Amino acid sequence: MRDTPFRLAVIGTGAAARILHVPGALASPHVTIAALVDSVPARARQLARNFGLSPLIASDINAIVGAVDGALICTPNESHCPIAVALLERGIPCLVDKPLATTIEDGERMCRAAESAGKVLAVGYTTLYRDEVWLLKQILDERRFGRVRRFHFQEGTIGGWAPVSGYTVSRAASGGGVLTVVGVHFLDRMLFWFGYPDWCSLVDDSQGGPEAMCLARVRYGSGADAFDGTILLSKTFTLKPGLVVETDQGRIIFPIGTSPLYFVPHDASGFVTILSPTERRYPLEKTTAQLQIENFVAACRGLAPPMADGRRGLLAVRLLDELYGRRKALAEPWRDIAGAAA
Amino acid sequence: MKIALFGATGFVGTTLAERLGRRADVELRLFSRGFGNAWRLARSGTTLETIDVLNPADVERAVSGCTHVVNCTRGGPDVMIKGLDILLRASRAARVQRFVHLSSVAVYGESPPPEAAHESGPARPEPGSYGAEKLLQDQMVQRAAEKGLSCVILCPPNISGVYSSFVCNVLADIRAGSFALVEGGRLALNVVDVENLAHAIELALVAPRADAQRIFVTDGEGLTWRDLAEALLPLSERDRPIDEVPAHLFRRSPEPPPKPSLFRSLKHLVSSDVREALRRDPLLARLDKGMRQLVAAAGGRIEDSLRHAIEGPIKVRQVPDRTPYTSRYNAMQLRNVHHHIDRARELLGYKPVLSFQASMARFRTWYEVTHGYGEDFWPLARALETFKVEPV
Repeated sequence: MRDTPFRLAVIGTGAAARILHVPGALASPHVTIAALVDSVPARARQLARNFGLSPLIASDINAIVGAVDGALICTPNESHCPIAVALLERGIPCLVDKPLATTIEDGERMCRAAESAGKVLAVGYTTLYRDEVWLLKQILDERRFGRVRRFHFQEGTIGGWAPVSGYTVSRAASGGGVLTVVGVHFLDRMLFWFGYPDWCSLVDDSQGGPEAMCLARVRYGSGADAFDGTILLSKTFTLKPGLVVETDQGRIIFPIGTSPLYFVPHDASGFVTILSPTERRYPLEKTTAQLQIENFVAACRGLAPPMADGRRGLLAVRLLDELYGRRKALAEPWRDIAGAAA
Repeated sequence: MKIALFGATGFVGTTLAERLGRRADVELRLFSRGFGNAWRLARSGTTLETIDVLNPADVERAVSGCTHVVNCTRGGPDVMIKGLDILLRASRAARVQRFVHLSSVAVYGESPPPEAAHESGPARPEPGSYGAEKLLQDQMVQRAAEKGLSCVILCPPNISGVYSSFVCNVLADIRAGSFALVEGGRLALNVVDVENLAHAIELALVAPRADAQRIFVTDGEGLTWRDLAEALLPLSERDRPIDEVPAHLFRRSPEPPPKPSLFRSLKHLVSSDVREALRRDPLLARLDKGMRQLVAAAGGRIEDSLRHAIEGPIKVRQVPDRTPYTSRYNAMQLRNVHHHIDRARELLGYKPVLSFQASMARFRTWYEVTHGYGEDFWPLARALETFKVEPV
C-alpha cells in the first residue's frame, strides 16, 4: 500500500464507531482519521477526545468534501442510503456498515450512485475476514466430505449490543429485528457459501415491533442434491453460537469467534479433525474491523476489489426482504396465563 | 395509578411491564439504563425511556407526577447503592404513594439458618457478596420508610418461568451431567415464577399495609430440587437417572482471608509479580536491573536465601481429580430452608397465579417452541451445543 495515509471520515460516532471502527482505523498504519461526523457534534468531539484525536468535527457531510479520501458510515440503518448517496455524488467512496440498506429500493439507489460516480461502495461484513470462512467455501465447493445434506446456524444472547440511539430495537430505524441486526452477517456468509436459496420462510415473535427471536428456513436445489438450512436467532435467550453443516461423511462444526473448523465423522470414531488454513490471509493479530478498513482503502486505491461490494450487499437486503415478506407469527401459547393456571 | 418502573428491561421488569401494560387503570413509564436488553419489550412496540439512575435531576424528572415507583434495577455497586439512594430521595420528594423494592433471599447468606424460614430470621450474607449488597439496599429502603416513604420489600428466591435463565441453566447442567441431586433431591427448593412475582408486585403497589420489612414471594412451600429436576426430565435427553450424591461433597469451609501484615505487604512489593509490572516503566526497570545485578554479584547462595525470604518455599499446586458435578446448583441445594410465604398471603393477599406444575409446563412449552426442541434441526443444534474439544 502507498505510504500516504488514507484520510478516513467516520460518519456516526456512536457505539460501533467507539468500539469497532475508530480502534480499527487507528490500528492501521495506512489510515488517518481525518473527520468525525455526527448529527450531535458534541458526541463526535467526545470521541475524538477519548482517542486523543484532532480531526475535523462536523454535523454536515458537506463539510468533509475535499478533506477525506473515503467515508465509513456507521449510523442507524435507515440513514445509510441518504448519507451514502450524498457522499458518492460528491465523489467520496463509502464503506457502509451492514446491512447495506433497509429496503431494496434504497440499496439499488446506493449501487447506482456508486456506479455512476465510479466510486467504491463496500459493505461492512467483518465476519468475512476470517480464513476459516474461505476454507469452508473451498471444502463445500470441492465436496471434500461429500454433498451437503443440511445445515443449522444459531446465535442467541440476552440483550447485548446497545447503540447510543437505540436504533436496533426500532423496526423503522433498523429495518427489522434480530434477523437484520444479527442474522444478516450469517445471511451474507450463507449466500457466499451456498448461493441464493430457492425457497425460504420465517417465523418470528414480532408483535408490531422488531422481532426478538426468529427461525428462518431455506431450501437449496432439487432432487438428490437438495438440502435445507435453518437459522435460529434470539435476543431473549442464549444459544451457543455457530454453524453445523451435515454432509455425507459427517458434520462440519464452525463455532463463532476465532475457532477453527472441526469435522466430526458420522462413524463416531471418537476423533475430530481440526481444519485450519495452511496460510493466513487475515492475520489473527489484526481485528476484523482493521482488516475491513484496510480492504476498503485498498479498494479505493484500485489495489483490490472490495470484500463485499454494494451489489453483494444488496443480495442480502433482497433475502431479508423476501424472508420478512413470508413472515409468520410465532405461536406463543404460554402467553395465556389464565389457561396455563387452569 | 401512574407507575414509574425502573429496570424495565430486566427479566422481572419486562414481565411486570407486560402485565401492567394490559391494565386500563395504569399509566406506565418504563425506564432502563440502555436499549441493549430492550428486545422483549420492543417487539410489541412498547415505549421505553433511558435513564442514568446516578443522575439525580433525571431521576427526579422521571418520578415527578408518578404515584407509584417500582425498583427492579440491577447493576454494579454504584447503581445498587447510590442509584437506589437517588431513587428513594426522588420518590420521597415526589411524595409517591408506594415504593416497591425487590430484595433477594441471598440476604440470608449461602447457608441460611433454619430461622430464615421466616423473614425475621437473621440476615447474615457473606461479606462482599450480592446478598450483602441487597441487605444494604433493604436497610436503605427501611430508613426511607422511617422518613415517611411507604415501602414494600419483596424477597424472591431464584426466578423461574418463561425466559428464565435459572431454569435454562439447570436444564443445561442436567443434560451435561454436571448437576446432581444432593441427598436424593429431598432438600428444599425455593423458586418463584416470574409471573407470580410480577403479580406480587402488583399487589404490593396497592396493599393497605406497608411495613418495609421483607416479604418472601415463592411458588409455595414444600418443593424440593427433585421436583425441579423431574419437571425438566422431559427436556433432559438423558438415558439414565440424574446422579444422587451426598451433601458433604459440596460443603466447603472457606479459607479465612490472611490478616493484614506490613511485613507481608513489603514482601509482596518486592515479589517477582510486582517487579514485572514495575519494569514496564523504564526508570524502574533500570533500578530493578541494578538491584538484580547487585544481588547476583553477592553469589548464588545469598540470591537463593533472598528469594526464599521473599517468595517463600516453592509452591506446587495440588491438581485434584476431575469431578463431573461442577454445577453451581449442587452447592445451592444445601441452603435447605423453605422460605414461608405467610406474610405475603397476609399482607398482600398473595396467592400464586401459577402453581409450580403449571409454571414448569409453561416453561417446557416455551422452551420447545423457541429452541426448536423436537424439530428436524434439533440434532444439529444439540451437536453444536454439546460440541467441545479438550484443549491441547
